[in-house]
Amino acid sequence: MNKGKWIKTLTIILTFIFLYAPIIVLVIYSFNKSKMNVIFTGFTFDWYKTLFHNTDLLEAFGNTLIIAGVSTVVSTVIGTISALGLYKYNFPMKKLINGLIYIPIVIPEIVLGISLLSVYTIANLKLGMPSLIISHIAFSIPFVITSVRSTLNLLPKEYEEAAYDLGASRFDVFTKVTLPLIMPGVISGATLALTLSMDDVVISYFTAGPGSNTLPLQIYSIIKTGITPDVNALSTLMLLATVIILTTSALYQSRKIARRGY
Amino acid sequence: MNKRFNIEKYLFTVPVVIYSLLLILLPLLYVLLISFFKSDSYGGMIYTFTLSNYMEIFNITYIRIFLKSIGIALITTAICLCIAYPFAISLMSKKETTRNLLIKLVMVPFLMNSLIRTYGWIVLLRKNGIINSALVGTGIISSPLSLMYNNIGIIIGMVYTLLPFMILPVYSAVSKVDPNLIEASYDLGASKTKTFTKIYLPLTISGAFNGSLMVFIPAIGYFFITDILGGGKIMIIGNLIKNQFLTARNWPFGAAISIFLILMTLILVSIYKKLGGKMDDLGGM
Amino acid sequence: MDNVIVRLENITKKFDDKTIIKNITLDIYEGEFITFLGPSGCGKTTLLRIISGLEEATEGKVFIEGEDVTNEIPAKRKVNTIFQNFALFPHMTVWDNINFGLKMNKVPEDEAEKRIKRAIKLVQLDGFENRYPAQLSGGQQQRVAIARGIVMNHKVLLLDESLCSLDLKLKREMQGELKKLQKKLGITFIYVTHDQDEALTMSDRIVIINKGNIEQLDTPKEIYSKPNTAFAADFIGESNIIKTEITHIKDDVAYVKLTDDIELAVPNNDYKKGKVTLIVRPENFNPHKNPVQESFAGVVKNYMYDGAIVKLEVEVGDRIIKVHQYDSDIFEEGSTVYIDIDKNKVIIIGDKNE
Repeated sequence: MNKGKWIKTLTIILTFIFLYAPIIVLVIYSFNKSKMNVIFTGFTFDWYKTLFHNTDLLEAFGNTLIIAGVSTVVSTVIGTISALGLYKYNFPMKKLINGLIYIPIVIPEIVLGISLLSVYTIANLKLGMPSLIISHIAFSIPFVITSVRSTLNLLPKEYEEAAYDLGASRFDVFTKVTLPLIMPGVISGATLALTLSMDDVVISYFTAGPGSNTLPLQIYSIIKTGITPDVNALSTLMLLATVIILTTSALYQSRKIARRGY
Repeated sequence: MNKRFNIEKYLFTVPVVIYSLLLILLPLLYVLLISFFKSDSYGGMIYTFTLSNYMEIFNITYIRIFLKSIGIALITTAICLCIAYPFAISLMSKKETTRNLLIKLVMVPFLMNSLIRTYGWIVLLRKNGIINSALVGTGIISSPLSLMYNNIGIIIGMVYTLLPFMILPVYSAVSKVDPNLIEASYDLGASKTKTFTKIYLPLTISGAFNGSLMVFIPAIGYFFITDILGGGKIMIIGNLIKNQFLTARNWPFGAAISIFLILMTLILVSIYKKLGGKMDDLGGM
Repeated sequence: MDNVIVRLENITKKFDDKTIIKNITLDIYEGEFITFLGPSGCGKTTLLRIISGLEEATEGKVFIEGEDVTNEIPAKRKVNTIFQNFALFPHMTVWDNINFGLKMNKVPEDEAEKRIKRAIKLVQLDGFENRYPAQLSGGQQQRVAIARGIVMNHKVLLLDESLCSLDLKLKREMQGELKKLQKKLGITFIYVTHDQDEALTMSDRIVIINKGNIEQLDTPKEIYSKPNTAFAADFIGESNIIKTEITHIKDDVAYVKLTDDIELAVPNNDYKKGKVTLIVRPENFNPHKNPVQESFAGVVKNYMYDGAIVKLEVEVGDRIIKVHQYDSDIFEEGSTVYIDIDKNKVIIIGDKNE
C-alpha cells in the first residue's frame, strides 16, 4: 500500500472511531460491576436484571413502541397515497401543498413542536398519547412522501400501461404492479418514520402530557438527574436490536437480488 | 379516460391536502398570529396587535444568545464538513461493495437513540471520564481537562449527532464525480489541494450545501444537547424558545423567535435551490 | 389481405394546442405486417397508442374487428402492445409475466397453462420460465414481451419501436424472427419505427408519417421506387433531391435541368412545364471512365469504399450529386467521371406540395 492509500484508510478508521466510541463505551459499561462508569471492576448481568424491574423505563418504552408503531403505519399509508396523488394528479393548490410538505423536513424541529403544541391548545386537545401520535404522524409523512416519490420518479410509466393493456382493472394495476414496484421506497420511508419516531426528543418534549412519557423523554430526565447503569443495559439491547434488524434486512435484500437479479 | 379517474383522484389527493393544511399550514399561521399578541404576566395572551415581540429580539441579551447559537451552529457545520469531505474522498478509494457496507455502518449509530449516544459522550468527556483518565494516567497531562459543561462539549455533541446528515449528501455528491476528471486533474499537474478546490468542491457544492443545511438548522434548535453537555449553563435559540413556551410562558415572544427561525430557514433553502439543489434530496437517507 | 381488422377514421390528436395527428384515415388488414415509419415526433407512436387505447383521440373513431372501440379502455380492446422498453414486470418470473394478462382476464388455469407453453415454445424460451426479467438478455426480454402479447390470442399485436434498444447484430436477427413469427401466427403486426431498414425488410406495407400526416402508404418496393414526395424519397434510402424545372416537353420526352448547362431527357409521364423536384437514387447514376451515350461529365470530390459498393460524390456544375458505383474501376479524387442515368427510374414530383 502506498502512502496516499494509508492516509485514506486511516481517515476512514478515525471517523469510525469517532462514530462508535460513545456506543462501545456504553456497551462495555453495561456489564461493569461498578456503578461508576470509570474503572471496569468485573463482569455482571445485574444491570439487565435491574432494567427489567425499572417500571418507569419499561412503561416509557412501551409508550414509545405504541407511538412509533401507530405513527409509522399511519404515516406510511398516508405518505404513500400522497406521493402517488402528488405524482399523478393535478389539483388546485398543488403547488402550495408541494411546498408545505417540505416544511417539516427543513424547519428546526422545535418550531414544529411549539406550533403543534399551540394548535392542540386552541383545539382543546388534552396532551397525552393522542397528541404525541398525531405529532409523530405529522413530522413523518413528508419523509415517507419524499422517499416514495424518489422511487416513483425512476419508475417507467409503461409498467402500468402494460398492465392496463393486458386487461388489469385499476385495482389490480395498483395492487399487483404499482405497489410491488414502489415497495422499496415505501419500506425505506417506513424505516425512516420508525427511526425518527423512536428517537424523537424535541417534538415529543412539547406535545407529551403528564403520564405519557416516551423512552427518549424518560432517558432525558434520567440523564439530567444522574445516570444509572441500567440505561447502559437498555442502550446495549437497543443497539443489538438495531444490528439484528439491519443485518436481516440486508441479508433479505441480497437474497432477493440474487434471486431476481435486481 | 379522464372521467373514470375521479374517485381515485380524490382518494389519493384529499389526505395530503387535509394533512398539509391542518398539520403544517394552520399551526404555522397560528404561531405567526400569536407572535403579534401581547403576553400578560400570568402566562396568558392579550389579543391586541403589537410588534414588541419582534423588537424584543434586538435586546442585547437575546442578540448575545442568537450570536452564540449561530456561532455554535456554524462551527458545528464547519467541523462536519471537515470530517465528511476527507471521509467521502477516502471512501472512494475502496471497492464499491466495501463502500456500500461502510456507508451503512455510518448509519448504524444514527439509528440508536440520540440521547443515549449523547450520554455516551458524558462517560467519555467528564472530569473522571475515560479520555481524562487515560490522558492523566499516561502522564500526558497533569490535571484533567474541562471537556464538557462548556462550548467544547456542546460542539462535540452537536457534531456527533448531526454528522450523518453531512456525510450522506457529501458522499453521494462525491461518488457522482467522474473519477476520470480526478485523474485528468492529476495528469495535468494539479496538486491534491488544487484538485480538491477546483474539481471536487465545485462539482459537489450542492451536496455540501444540502449537508450544511441539514446540520446548521437543527444545531440552532437542539436544546437537549446544550442541556446535557453544556450543563444547562449555555443557552442557544432552542433553549430560549423552549423556555418561553414552557417556563417563562411568554408564548408571543417564543412565537416571534420561531418566526425568525422560519425566515432564516427559508432564506437558506432558497440559496440551496439557487445552487441547483433538489428539495427531494433534503433529509433523505 | 381482404378483411379490415383495424380502421382509423379521421383521427386527430391534440396535446394542448399542438396538433400531433392531423385527420388520419387508415385501414389495416388481417394478417399483414404494417409499419408506421417516420422521424421522432412525427406522431407514429401516438397513433399506435390511440389504437391500443392508451391515448384518446381528440377527434375521429377507432374500429377493431369491426367494432367501434373509440371510447373503450385498453383492457377491453382486442389488441396488445409490446412496449419499447418491453415493460416486463421486474418482480414477476417469465411465466408470471406471460400469465398476467390471462389471469386478469380470468382464463381457466389449465387453458392458460396450455397457451403459455405454446407461446414459450413459439418464442423459443423453453427452460426460462422461472427466471426474472433482470436475469435475461435484451433479446430474451424481447421474446418474453412478445409471448406476453401473443398469449392473449388477439388478432392484432402492436409493437412500439420494439427492436431499437437491441444492438445491431441482434436487431438483424430479431427482424427475421419477428417476420417469421408473424407469418406463423397469421395475425396482424402493427410496427412503429424510425429505422427505414427495419421497415423495408419486415413490412408488407409501410405508412410513412410526417408531422402528423400520412406521407405515403404502399409496399416497400413501391415506396422505394416511386416515392410520392421528396420527404418519402429522402426518408427511405439515399436520394439526390434536386429542386429544378422542366424547361420544355417534346412529344414523349421531358427535358429537366440538372445544372445551367446540363439537361436530362426523361420519358414524359404527363409532366407539365415549370418548377419540379427531381429525385434520383444514387444507384441510378452510372459512373464511367470514358464518355458514353447521353453522359455528362463531373469531377470526383469524394471516394468512399463501402464493401460491396463505392460511394462517390461528384461535382457537376454548381451541384454535388451522390453516385453509387458497382464495378471495380477506380476513380481518383479530382479525376473526371462521365455519368449516365437510368431514365426510367427517375422520379419527378410536381411543385404543388413544396
